[in-house]
Amino acid sequence: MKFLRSNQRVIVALAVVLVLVFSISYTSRPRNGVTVLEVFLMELLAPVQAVTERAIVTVQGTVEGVAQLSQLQDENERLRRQLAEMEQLDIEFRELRRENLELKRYLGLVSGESGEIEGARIVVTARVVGRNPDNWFKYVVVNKGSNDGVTLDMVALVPPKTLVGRVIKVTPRTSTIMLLTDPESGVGGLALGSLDAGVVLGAQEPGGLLEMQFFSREARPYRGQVVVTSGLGGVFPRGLLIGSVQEAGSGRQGVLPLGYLNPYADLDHLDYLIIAARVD
Amino acid sequence: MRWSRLALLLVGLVLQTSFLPHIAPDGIRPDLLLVLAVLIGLNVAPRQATWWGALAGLLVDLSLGRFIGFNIAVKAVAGYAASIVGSKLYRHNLGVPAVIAGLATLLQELLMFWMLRVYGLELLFVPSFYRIIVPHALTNLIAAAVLGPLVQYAFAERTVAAEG
Repeated sequence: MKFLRSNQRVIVALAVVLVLVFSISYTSRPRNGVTVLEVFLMELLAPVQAVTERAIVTVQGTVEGVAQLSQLQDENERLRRQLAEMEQLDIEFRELRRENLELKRYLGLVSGESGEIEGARIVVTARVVGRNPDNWFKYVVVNKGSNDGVTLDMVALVPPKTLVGRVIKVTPRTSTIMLLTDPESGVGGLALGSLDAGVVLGAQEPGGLLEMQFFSREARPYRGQVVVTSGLGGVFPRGLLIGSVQEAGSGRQGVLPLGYLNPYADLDHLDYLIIAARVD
Repeated sequence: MRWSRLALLLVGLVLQTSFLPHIAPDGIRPDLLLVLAVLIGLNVAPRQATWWGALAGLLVDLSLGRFIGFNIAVKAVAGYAASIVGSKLYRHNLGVPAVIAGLATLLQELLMFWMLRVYGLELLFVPSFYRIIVPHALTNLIAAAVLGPLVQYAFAERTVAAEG
């Protein structure tokens, strides 16, 4: 007892360190549940974040509008010249649209005339209200949660059917979405044309591209090759657009081919997202 | 409980997650909670500085939802260190909070990099060091120098006698 009293501070410090180490270890992997404290903080901050986000977007838009006033005259002239070229482009557009519809039917992205996502059910449309507070992870927080039908592992998209990420945390009125570029992100991918399958990982270098690790040694990714979700893994519906190959390489072990992808979604400027659930 | 300091931390978290991403969407954002932990620490006693730093870290950890406890520990130590240094140096000098914030950030980010590697992420050290760790330390250094006078004016607690 005397030992405890005389070393009270050390014992308390050790206990605190043990608790922190346990907490860090327990929360080092994505969890299915959220703590009461997390729910409380996110529910508390979400309305304020939403207002702040709206205010910033509005101010940005106003500033950009004012800056553009001086450019209006030049733009007017440019638009007149473009208008003269439109007639020729219209012919090319009709041909491209025909080809686009054929490709969509091939990918199974379009079902009938409704434009709904093949293999997925749209749950809700949500607005981005915040992002991760650090510089290592890539999350966004949206203003829809379990009260709106959102559950874990739902996918987040931007039109038209472009993958952004998946839901990793849900509170009653908010959801946290891990973006494709998060270093822990992983999506089953399929390269169109060659139909080579692989897994698309988040950027392993800060500010880097997505990395698609192909399963086959014979895969030959090429610049501009489109990559969509393969539907393997049970989370992401098949056929969602991920990105295009910027350059090819080999994996860190030098065995399997690697493709560096530029995501189609502008993950730095997200505003509204579609939350969808996979339907098998 | 100093509600004004708690409000400051909450405002810092909102700005961190909703305002700063628009300024530097894919760039490095200052860690306002770490900066505030240092600045508050400079103006209070060591025990209080530790608690305020831990609270700042708790807000970040809960917001992130990962490695809960990491930011609690780092920012508590940063607040404590700031308080100790502030009692020995002329803390109204802009350089003092700036240097402390910069060094605390270096320590925080190096530890975070190491922890992410331990838990399985294959991050590369050199790109991470030059693209995240160093820029983050510099932005926090600047943020501390800018916010320092404001926070010190608003929340200075030490008496003239204590300042000696």
